[in-house]
Amino acid sequence: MQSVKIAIRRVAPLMILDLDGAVTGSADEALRTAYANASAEAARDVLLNFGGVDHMDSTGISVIIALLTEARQRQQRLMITGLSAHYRKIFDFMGLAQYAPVFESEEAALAWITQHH
Amino acid sequence: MDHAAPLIGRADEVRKVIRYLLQPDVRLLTLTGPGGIGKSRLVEAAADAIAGAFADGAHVVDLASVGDPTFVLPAIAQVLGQHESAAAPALEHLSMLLHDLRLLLVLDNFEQVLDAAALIAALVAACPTLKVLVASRSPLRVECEREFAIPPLGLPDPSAAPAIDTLAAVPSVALFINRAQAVLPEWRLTHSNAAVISQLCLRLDGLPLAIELAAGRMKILSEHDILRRVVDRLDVLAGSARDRPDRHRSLRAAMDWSHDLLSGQGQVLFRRLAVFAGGWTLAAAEIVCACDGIAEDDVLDLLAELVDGSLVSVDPSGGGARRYRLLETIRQYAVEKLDLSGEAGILRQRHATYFQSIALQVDVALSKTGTPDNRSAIAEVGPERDNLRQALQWSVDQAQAEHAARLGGVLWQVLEQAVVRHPQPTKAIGTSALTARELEVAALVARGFSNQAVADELVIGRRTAETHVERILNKLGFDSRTQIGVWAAERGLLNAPAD
Repeated sequence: MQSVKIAIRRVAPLMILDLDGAVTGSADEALRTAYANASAEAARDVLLNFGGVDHMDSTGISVIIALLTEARQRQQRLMITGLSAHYRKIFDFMGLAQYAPVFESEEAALAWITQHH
Repeated sequence: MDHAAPLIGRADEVRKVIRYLLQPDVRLLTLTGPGGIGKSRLVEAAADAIAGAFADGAHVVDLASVGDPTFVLPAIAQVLGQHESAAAPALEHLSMLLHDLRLLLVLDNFEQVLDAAALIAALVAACPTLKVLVASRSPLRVECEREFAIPPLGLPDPSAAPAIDTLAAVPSVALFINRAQAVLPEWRLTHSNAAVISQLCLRLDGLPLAIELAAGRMKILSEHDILRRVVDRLDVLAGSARDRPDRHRSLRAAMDWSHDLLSGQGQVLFRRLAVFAGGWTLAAAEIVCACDGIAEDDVLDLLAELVDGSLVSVDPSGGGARRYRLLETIRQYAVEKLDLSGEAGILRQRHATYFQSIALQVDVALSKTGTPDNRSAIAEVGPERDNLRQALQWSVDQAQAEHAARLGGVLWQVLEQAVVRHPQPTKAIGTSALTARELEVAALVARGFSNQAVADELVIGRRTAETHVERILNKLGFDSRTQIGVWAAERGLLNAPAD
């Protein structure tokens, strides 16, 4: 399993973090750094793109939950796309979609954010 | 309610349900009726009685704690022991899984998720040998549905004075007798109390839950006292809730006066227990509910008082710490009481704190063993899935990131393991689930071929071979190549030539 690699890109008004590889506890520092860099661009809305993620475990979901909890505290909004059907359902089952909206695609997230800006 | 107790007075209804289910054109049967009419007990009894007629058995999915229609298919998949497909949507994956199975799917408490009705109709349409039995306050209103409105229990004739044996056989009276004798074994239906019992059953409209609540009080009240209290309460409700159907008033009256009979501390514990989702253990109740007027040492006796009063049921499933729960209709009543008390906020906080500490204990146990996949530590908290989810959401709401992260990690493992523990229906998936090419790939994987070797053997690209293997895993609901090997061997695919 390849540990996660994160690329940041801006698609106004979103900052998008493209995740690639495995999301586990070891992704903590990389995710926080990437998120901090994205936030530094003054983006209120950050989209995590899981399209390149081939594995996620319990320590990985812990990192994501900590991130979304802290984002809410800072009045920022974390959004999700690219989840496989399996991870999407677990995400839903945990009730997390109410805190971090989940979208089928980047375009759907952009359309939603445009409507809600 | 005691779910281990025999089902009384419903033999006719069980027979009718079975007869309906055996009709070839009945694919989706919904048993409807108000809260307290006994829908859950009836579907359970009917499913038990008819399970043998289905080669792949009857599987019960309780949707009481599933508040969101989008969770319905995942909940079904979980009961069937299935991973959802990473590639296919939930409906497609379940349809594929159930397509060749002769199975009775029982969905209880469906009224919470009526928006999922179309998904169930689609599942029935896609699976020719699947039958679905639903318990719901309202029908699903889909084309393939057959509805069976559960009637109240049979009532005595108020204008007649039948022989005691005849009266005792009337279903509502039979239930009262059974439940009264459960708490007061020496009690008998006699000429001197027959009229009162008849009147009581009539005033409670033959509603099983209302009758059980009333009979449960025979230990401390005479039948005359019970009737008087029920009539008094009905008079109050008749004045304040004219828009409610009589049967709703009957149940409300039974719950009101049953609640009024509790000790002051009993009432407090009753409403506080509404904070739990999906039941609780004694240890959890002692820590979460013991505050402000209730000491930890009081909880056991107060819980016994609630069990005696038929307001709390003991989960008969056994294994691990004994669990308790409020029947859904009673839980909704307890939630009302909790919200009115002004204690809801502090109780939700105490609930979350308790389950945060449970998550921490699991975390410590896992780190000591050094195996992040420690099945026993996770299995122990498996029954707390709904409580963990509730605590997780509270922690996120309160910006407690560390607790939320830990709870999320534990819940993730609970959800994953719940699937792994019951893999039986997967075995029933036939070879028709795979394409001819996928069967070839499965046979090669079973013979130990790597993806590259599969690609070389079939003269396809490595990436194409990987895609085939991924699809096979998804279609069969497996998570390892070894499982493909076992599945293929069981179907004789290993004997097929590789070329």
